[in-house]
Order: sequence, then structure tokens, then C-alpha cells
Amino acid sequence: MSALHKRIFINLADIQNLTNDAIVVLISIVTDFTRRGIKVQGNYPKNQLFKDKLEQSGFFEYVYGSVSNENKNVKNAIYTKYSTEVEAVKSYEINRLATETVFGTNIGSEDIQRVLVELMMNTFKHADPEIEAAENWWLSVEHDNILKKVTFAFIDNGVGILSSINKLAYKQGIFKSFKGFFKDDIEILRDILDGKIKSRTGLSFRGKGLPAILNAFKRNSFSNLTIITNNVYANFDTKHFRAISPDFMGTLIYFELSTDNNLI
Amino acid sequence: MQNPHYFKIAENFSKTPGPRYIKEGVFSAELLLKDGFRKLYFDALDKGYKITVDLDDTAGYATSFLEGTFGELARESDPEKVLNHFIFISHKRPWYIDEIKEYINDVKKNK
Repeated sequence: MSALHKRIFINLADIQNLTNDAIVVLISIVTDFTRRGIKVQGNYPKNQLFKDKLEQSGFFEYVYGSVSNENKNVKNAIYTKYSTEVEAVKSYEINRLATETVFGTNIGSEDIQRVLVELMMNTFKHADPEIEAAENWWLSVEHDNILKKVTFAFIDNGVGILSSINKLAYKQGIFKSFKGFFKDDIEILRDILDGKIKSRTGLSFRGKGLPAILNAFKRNSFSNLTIITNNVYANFDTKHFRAISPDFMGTLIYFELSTDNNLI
Repeated sequence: MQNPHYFKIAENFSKTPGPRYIKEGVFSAELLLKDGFRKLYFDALDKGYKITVDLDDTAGYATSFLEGTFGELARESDPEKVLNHFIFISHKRPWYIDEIKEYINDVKKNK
């Protein structure tokens, strides 16, 4: 059957929860289907709270559907954005709004800026290790003005951190020795973030970006750092690491900024 | 006219430094070097003076921007000379200076 004849229906009617990380994953998947000529339709959540959240998220900028007047241009709700490039100016605007919600000052957090730019760069370089700027990144930012909390969900639909490492290591002819250093993919991901991969293998392609994100987390610049990539789920706050199945194609990184964090 | 002895990234280049290469996005390390920072460094090298680089008051730095600037100059000249001809200021985030020195020393190890 050709792509033109394929249709997908997303049934959101009975969902029990809706977070911005789920919305950004949904948007990225839907637009990927659309790009491949597959028609996507869906329905609205029955729960009014989730329906409002979906409308405020910018979801309907990418998916056909109507947005009620009261949910248009809602300030500080969910911001969803995609690009292939590194957008330091835009991330600074997002960052300033975040510190305004949490700390009441719009100076921005240097560590949040660093994380956003590092993630955009990773997408540019590693989402497909053989072609630069092959994949979009998506960022969804949700402001909770009452709890003074901002959540960030960043996704790229590339091959994922572990697959990109494996692909390039294989290409460079060091795949066997590289794999031999580690027990499993969970440990590989932890070692990448600890900066041990490069020092152990001499690989230059995965450098300092992901360890810098972990260091910013250790400075308490944000909380609840969670990474889902390929077959690994990793929450660095709870130290909960586990294998997942089926694989998640790409990389999802989630973190939170609240008054418990340092403004660094 | 640019003071050859003092360079503040936030004022003399951009409040929002970006990625490593121009093709990756705006305000890259490559653009900084191309825009005159490379010349500033090599002039300082020729004339034997030091440049104070003030890292404060930007939105923040990606590791690739710092490596793409100072690591790149170390690759193009001599890591020891880069270490000797720059004085770094980062009052608010002193770890930027440690990172820059680490990147320059990495070049030294691999040369």
C-alpha cells in the first residue's frame, strides 16, 4: 500500500493525563507521518483541562484542528518550536521567560542556555551521524505560574544517542573494542554523560556537550533530568535507569526549573 | 576602535554566543574568529602582549563555542602560547575558565 493510502487516527478522547513532553513527542511523530504523506486525524480529549492544554500548546499549528478563542495567544502556557539549526537567540528568549516565571527576574539561566544550545547542536550533528542538519529538534516549554515551575521537553527524531555512537564507532572500525568496554546500553549512556566514553576510547565525535548537561544538573541548575533514547530510560534525579521496549527512535530530554534550583 | 588588550564577548561579539561553526547557527565560534578575534590573538602573539577576555554577562556558553574558539586557536598556533597570551575573567561562572584550559590542554595532548 502506498503512503498516500495510509491513514492514522490518534484517539485522545479518554486520556488520563497530558504533559508537555507527551505533546512534543506527539507533534514530532505526527509531522513525521505528514512529511511522508501519511494522513493523520484525531479527536480531542474529553477532559476539558487536557483539551485546553492541547490547544494552548501550539499542537494545532502542526496538526489540522480548531482552537477555541480563549486558548489562542495564552501567555506563558506551552511553547512549541522546531528547527534544524542552533538558535541561541531564541533559546535565550525562552530562557528569560522561564526565569521570570520561576524567580521573578528575566535575566535567564546560563546553565539552561547551555543545555538548550548543546541539545540543538547534538541534533544538528548527531541525529543522523552521516548527514548534518538532517533532523528537526522540537522544544516544548510549559510554565506553571502558580507552582513557579517551568518544564522543558526537547526531542529529536534522529537515530538516538546510543545508535549514533554505535554507527560511528562501527564506521571508524572500533566497534568491537568499544562495545567490549561496557556491560549494557544503560551503562554506555551513563558513561557518555560522565564523559568517560571519549577518554576510554579516544572518540572525538561525542565530546563535551552531554557531560556539560550532567554537570549543570549536578550544580542544581535544574531538576528531574530524564533521558529516553533507543532502549534506555534514565532519570538522573531518582537514579532510576531501565531498559525499555520497544525502542524509542530518537532522543527525548526532559528537565524542570523551579525555586528549588539555583539561578546559575 | 577595539581595545587590543581587552575583549568582552557580551559587548564586543554577542550576548548570545552560539555553536561552533557558522553553518550550525548564528554567533558561532567560527564567526568570532573570522570577525577579528583570530587577528587580535595573532597580533598579540606578534607584539608580545596579553589579551584579557571577559566571559561575563552573556546568556551562557555551549562547550563547543568555547572549544571552537580557544581550542581552535591552540590547534592553529601553539597551546602554550594560547594559555600565555590570554587572561580570562569569569566572576560569575569560574568553571568556564577551567573548561577553556582543559580544551587547550586537550589540544596539547593530541598535538
